[in-house]
Amino acid sequence: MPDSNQPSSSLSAGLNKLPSSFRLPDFLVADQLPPLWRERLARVARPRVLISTFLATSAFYCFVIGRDRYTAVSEFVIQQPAPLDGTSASVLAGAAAAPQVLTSLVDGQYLQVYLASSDIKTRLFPDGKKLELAYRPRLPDLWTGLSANSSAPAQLDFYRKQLSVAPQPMSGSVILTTSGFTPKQAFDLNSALLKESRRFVNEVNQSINAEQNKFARKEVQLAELNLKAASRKLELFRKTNGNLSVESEQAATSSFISGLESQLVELKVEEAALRRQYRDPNAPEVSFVADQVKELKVQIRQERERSVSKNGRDLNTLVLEEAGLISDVEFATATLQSARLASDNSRRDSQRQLKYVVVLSQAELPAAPDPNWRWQAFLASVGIIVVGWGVGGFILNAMRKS
Amino acid sequence: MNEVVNLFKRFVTAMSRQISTILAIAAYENDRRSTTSSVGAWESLISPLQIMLFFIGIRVGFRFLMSGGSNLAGGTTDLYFNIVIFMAAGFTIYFPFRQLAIQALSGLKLRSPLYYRRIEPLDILLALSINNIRALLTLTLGLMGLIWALTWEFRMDSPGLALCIYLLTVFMAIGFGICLVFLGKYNKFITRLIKRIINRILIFTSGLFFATFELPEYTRPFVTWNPVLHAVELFRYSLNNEYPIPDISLSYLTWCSLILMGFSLILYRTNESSLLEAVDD
Repeated sequence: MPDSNQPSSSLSAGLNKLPSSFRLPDFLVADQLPPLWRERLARVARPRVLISTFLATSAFYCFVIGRDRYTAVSEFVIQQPAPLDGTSASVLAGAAAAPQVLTSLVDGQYLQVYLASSDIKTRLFPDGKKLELAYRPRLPDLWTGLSANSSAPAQLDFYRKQLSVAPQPMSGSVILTTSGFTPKQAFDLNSALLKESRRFVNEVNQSINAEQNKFARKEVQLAELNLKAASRKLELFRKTNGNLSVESEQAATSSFISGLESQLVELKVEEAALRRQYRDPNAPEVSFVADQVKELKVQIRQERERSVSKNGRDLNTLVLEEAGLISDVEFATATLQSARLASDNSRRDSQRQLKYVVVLSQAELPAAPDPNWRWQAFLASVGIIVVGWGVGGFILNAMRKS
Repeated sequence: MNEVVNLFKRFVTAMSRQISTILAIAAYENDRRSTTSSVGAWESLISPLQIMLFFIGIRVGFRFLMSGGSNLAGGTTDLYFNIVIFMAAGFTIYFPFRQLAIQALSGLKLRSPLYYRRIEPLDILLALSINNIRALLTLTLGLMGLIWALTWEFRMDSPGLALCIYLLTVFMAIGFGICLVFLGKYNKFITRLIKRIINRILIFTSGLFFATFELPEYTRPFVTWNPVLHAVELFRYSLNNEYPIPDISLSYLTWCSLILMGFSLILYRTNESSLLEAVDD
C-alpha cells in the first residue's frame, strides 16, 4: 500500500531547498578555518539565529538604551484681514475663503523652506558649540545626538531633523512639530520657530508694503517737480513775449484783421456804387473812397505781415510753442493726480494686505516622552526582515530557476 | 510549569511545521508557474509591471489631456510624491488583494494529482499570497529604488506604520479570499460577477489613480467605504507624513481587517470539510 502521508517529490524538494537560500557564501566556510570555528560559525550563521539576533538588538536599542524624545506641536494659520466691504458676510463667503486657504498654503510652503534654512539655524543657534553641547550624545545611547566637532552641514542636517513643518492643503494651516531630548528643548525650539514664522510673515509683508509706499511717494514727488518745471516754463514764455496768452492775442489780431477786411468790403461796394453814379472815375467823391480802399488794403497786408512774419510778432510760432507748454503743464497735472491716487491706494492696500500669524494651537511643554520613534524604529527592523525575506526569496528563487 | 513549557514547545513545533508546509507549497506553486511561461519565474514580476505601467500611463495621459497638453505630471499629488511612487504605493497594496481574490475565486487547488494530508485549502491560499506578496514587494522596491536613485529623494517617514498597514491589508486579503472561496463554490455566475466587480469597482474606488484629498468633499463617501482605499492612502501617508488623508482612518482599516479575518476563519473552520471535498474531487 502506498504511503499517502508522504509529500510529493516537489514538495519535499521545496522543503529541503528552503534554508539553502540563506546559506552563507562558500568563502566564509572555507577549509582554511579550523574545524572548531567552522562548527561555531555554522551554528551562529543560521538564518533563524541571525534574524533573532538582529531583532533582539533592534528591540534592545529601541526600548532600552534609546534616548527619550519629546515632541512639541503647534498649529497656526497665516491670515489676511477680510475686506471692509462686507463680502465675507454673504453666502459666497465659502468661495471667497478659498483664496485665503491657498494664500496661507503658499505662505506655509515658503515657511517650510525658510524655517529649515541655514539662516534660521544660525539665528537660533549662533554658536555651533552650544548646539553640540545641548544635543550631545549621552550614555548609554551614544548613537543619537550631535557629536563634538561636527561640521556645519552635519549641524544643519541635525537641526532639520528636529523640526517638521507641514502645510495642510485642506485648511491652509501649518503644523509645526519639534523634537528634543528634553521637554524644554522641544518646547523652546517650537516657540522660537513660531516667533521666527511671525517675524518672517510680518517682515516680508511690511518690507514689501514699505517699498511700495516709498515708490508711490517718490512718484508723487517726481510729478510735483515736473508740474512745477512745466508751469515755470510757461510762465517764463509768457513773460518773455509780453503777453498773457498768445492764443487770445492771435485771436484778437485775427478779429481785428477780419474787421478791417469787412470794412474794406463795404468801402469797395461803396466805391463801385459811386463809379456807377459818376461818369468821371476821377471825381473827388470816387477818388476819396478809392483812396480809402487802397489805404485799407495796405493796412490789412501790413497787419497780416506783422502778426506772422519772423521780424514781426510771429504769432503762429508763438501759439504752437505756447500750446506745447500748456499741454506739458496739463500732462504734469494729470500725472500728479494719478500719482497721488496711486500713493493713497498703496497706503490703504498696505494696511489691508498685512498678514498675521494666527496661532490655532500653542505648543505645550511635553509631559512625557514620545514613544512613537521607538515603535517606528523597531517595526522598521521587522519590515527590513519582511522585505528582505520577500524580495530576497523571490529574486534568489527566480535566479535559480533561470 | 512544565506543562506550559511543553504546550509552548508543541505550539512552536506545530507552527514551524505549518510554516514549512506553506513555504514548500509556495515554492512548488512558483516552480509550476515558472514552467508555464517563457520568462520563467520572472513572469510573476513582469505581468503586474505591465499593468502598473499601463495604469501610470492612464493617469499621466489623463492629466496631460486635462491640462490642455501642458502638464505631464500627476497633478496636486506632485506636491508630495513622484507619480511613479504614488502609483506604485497604491499598487503594492491593491494588487495582492486583487490577485488573491481572483485566485481564490478560481478554486484552491494545487493543480496536481498528488495528495498530501497536511495540505489544507488555507495553506494553499497562504502560499499563493506569499508568492504574490514577494513578487509585488520586489516590484515596488525596485521601482522605488529606481525613482529614489533618479530623483535622490529618500523618504519613508513612518516605516512602522507602513509595515502595519501592509500586514493588515494582507490579513484582509486572506480573509476576503477565504470568503470568496466559499462564495465561488456555490454558483459560477456569482464567481464571474464577483470577478468583474472586483476588477472594476474595486480598482476605481481603491485610490490607485487618485488621492482622497483631490476629491470634492461630497464625493468622498462614495469611495471611503472601501477599506482598500484606507490602506492605500495610509500607506502613502506612511511614506510622507505631510500627505493629507481626509476621511481616512486607521481604526476603520483595522476593524475591517480583523472582522473579515475573524469571520473568514470561523467560516473556514465550520465548513472546512465541504471545501476539502470541493477541492479534492
